Amino acid sequence: MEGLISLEDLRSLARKYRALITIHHALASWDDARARTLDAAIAEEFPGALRELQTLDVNVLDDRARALEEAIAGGAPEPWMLWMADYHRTLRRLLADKRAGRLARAPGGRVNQLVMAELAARYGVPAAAIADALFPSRRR
Amino acid sequence: MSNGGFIDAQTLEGELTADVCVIGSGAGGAVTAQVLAAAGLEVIVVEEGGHRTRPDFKMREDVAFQQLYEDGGARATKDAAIAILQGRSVGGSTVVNWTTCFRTPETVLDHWKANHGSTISLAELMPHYLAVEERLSIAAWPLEESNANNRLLYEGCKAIGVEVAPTRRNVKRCMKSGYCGMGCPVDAKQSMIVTYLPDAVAKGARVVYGLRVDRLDEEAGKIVRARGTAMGGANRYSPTGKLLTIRAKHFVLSAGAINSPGILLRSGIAGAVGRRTFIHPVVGVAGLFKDPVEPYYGPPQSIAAHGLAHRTDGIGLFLEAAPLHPMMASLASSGQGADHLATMRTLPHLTAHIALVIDGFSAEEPGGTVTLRGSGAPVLDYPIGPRVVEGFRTAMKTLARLDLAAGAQSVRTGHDPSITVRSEADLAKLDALSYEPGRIAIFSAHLMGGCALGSDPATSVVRPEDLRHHSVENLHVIDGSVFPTSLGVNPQLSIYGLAHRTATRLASAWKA
Repeated sequence: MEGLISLEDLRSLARKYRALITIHHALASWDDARARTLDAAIAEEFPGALRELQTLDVNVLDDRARALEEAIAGGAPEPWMLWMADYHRTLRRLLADKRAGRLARAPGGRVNQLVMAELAARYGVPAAAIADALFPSRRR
Repeated sequence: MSNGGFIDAQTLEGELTADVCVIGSGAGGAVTAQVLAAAGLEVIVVEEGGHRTRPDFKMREDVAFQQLYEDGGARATKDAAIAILQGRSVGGSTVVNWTTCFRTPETVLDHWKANHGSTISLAELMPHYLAVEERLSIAAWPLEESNANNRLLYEGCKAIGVEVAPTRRNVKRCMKSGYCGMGCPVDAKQSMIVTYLPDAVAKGARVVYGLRVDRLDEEAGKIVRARGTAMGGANRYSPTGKLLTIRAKHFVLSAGAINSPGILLRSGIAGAVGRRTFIHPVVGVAGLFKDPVEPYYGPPQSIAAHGLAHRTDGIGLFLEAAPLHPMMASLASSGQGADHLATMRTLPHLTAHIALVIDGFSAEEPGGTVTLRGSGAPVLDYPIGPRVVEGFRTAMKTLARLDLAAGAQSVRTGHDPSITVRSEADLAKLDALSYEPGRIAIFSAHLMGGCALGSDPATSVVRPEDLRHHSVENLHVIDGSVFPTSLGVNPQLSIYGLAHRTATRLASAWKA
């Protein structure tokens, strides 16, 4: 597997998951205005993160935050952490390419599939395995 | 982290090898692993859930359901009409079951012989039952040691003339806490985490937990490897992206009646896989008694009534008690707001008596089907047919009658909104009610079938003599999924006995 995740990326992802948990609680308490404000900031900084908010159980968000905090404290990073940091960067680049007209038509119109294909090639792991690790189904 | 043979998958890398890979650590997998390890075979047991033991058992429903049950206790059928209680940790459902032990009835074994090409007899199973019963301290539970919830079931059945008797339980020095369903807080329950799994580990087996098996790779009619994902998070619901493989000479699938078919289907091994899944669909009533019942304390299940198991005018039923702790009680109670609060305030005075429908013995009861969701997760579709609906109606009337006969002031059905019965004259109200899915609370804790044993590969998955897959020569299925019908009794001892018999045969063959 190529590459190691930086401490900066670990911290950044941990902050993202804590923010997603905050948004989850804001939505659960009907504080839509606060949720919208946080949504916009997170979507700007971490493209694709709102999909996690929509599809993952809050316990999984919490699991991820804790795992990242353990890694920041010196524990062994898990593969999904590196993939997720790269996912956000790759999606940001491809979305920019799409907006600039530099991107050939994405399969099924989904840029996400291109991202997964890039990650699969970069890390030598099947795209389905990466997708499962990054966006596990709620019903698994 | 390794804990004396119990190993967290997150600490492993790459490829593991063994003589035998057992997938699932519940009733079937644990007994199989112990027998094979004791015979000198190198065994790896794989479990998707976490490794939870006595210090983790906090006697709190909110904690226990997340730690110990599939989908945090929220598993359900495809249409969400039937709640499914199924264990998900090292030890599987044996960690959370209510300790009721029955051998497979001989009438059921005979039915399998006559209708499904089974060769299994009670005489053949008997030495294995005796061995398991000794190891698990399975013994009759004295009637006088039953809690009020169970005693009132007994008295009610006696009063209305339904055959009833105390059950046997797999406990040792039981303190009657009532928390069997949340993990025994004193290790009195002789579940797999305190018996067969430590026994297997003592013989060299390794139990790898937090590892979800994604698929089995088949080449030339044999399984060559299992591929899985290490699961992270407090309750092992978060895939870490760490991929592991296990190579073995033999693979034993013991993941239960939903997950075993799920793994086979994900692996492209189909045929009759997933068909004829039976669940003993359960409906229940709550009886309100003047004196305290405290349905949350004491052995949760120690009485069973099988007097209606062989009805000639409809589907068979058997009656038992269920523990009623606050969270489960609130979920099972209909109504909202003040009405719901009023019901919950009566909890100490409520009984919870249930009827389990014995499905699968008629052509009109094809059972359910396990398929895969788009994500690859297995899901059970269980249509409720007219015979089961009639069974629910008869069950509800019988339960209401027996509770009234036992002295209940009133009895509430599991309908939404619930119906209250206060006298025999009110029983007629129950005839007019709907018993269709969605109109009444239905649940199941007994998952059976989906990889049925039988002689015909068109209608079954494994052969009876050694539970080997019909066409994959090194793949065996040893769990409740191999039953070609339901059992008419709680399934754990049937699984233990069949696993012990089959693993003993396999040990002889594989050591030869």
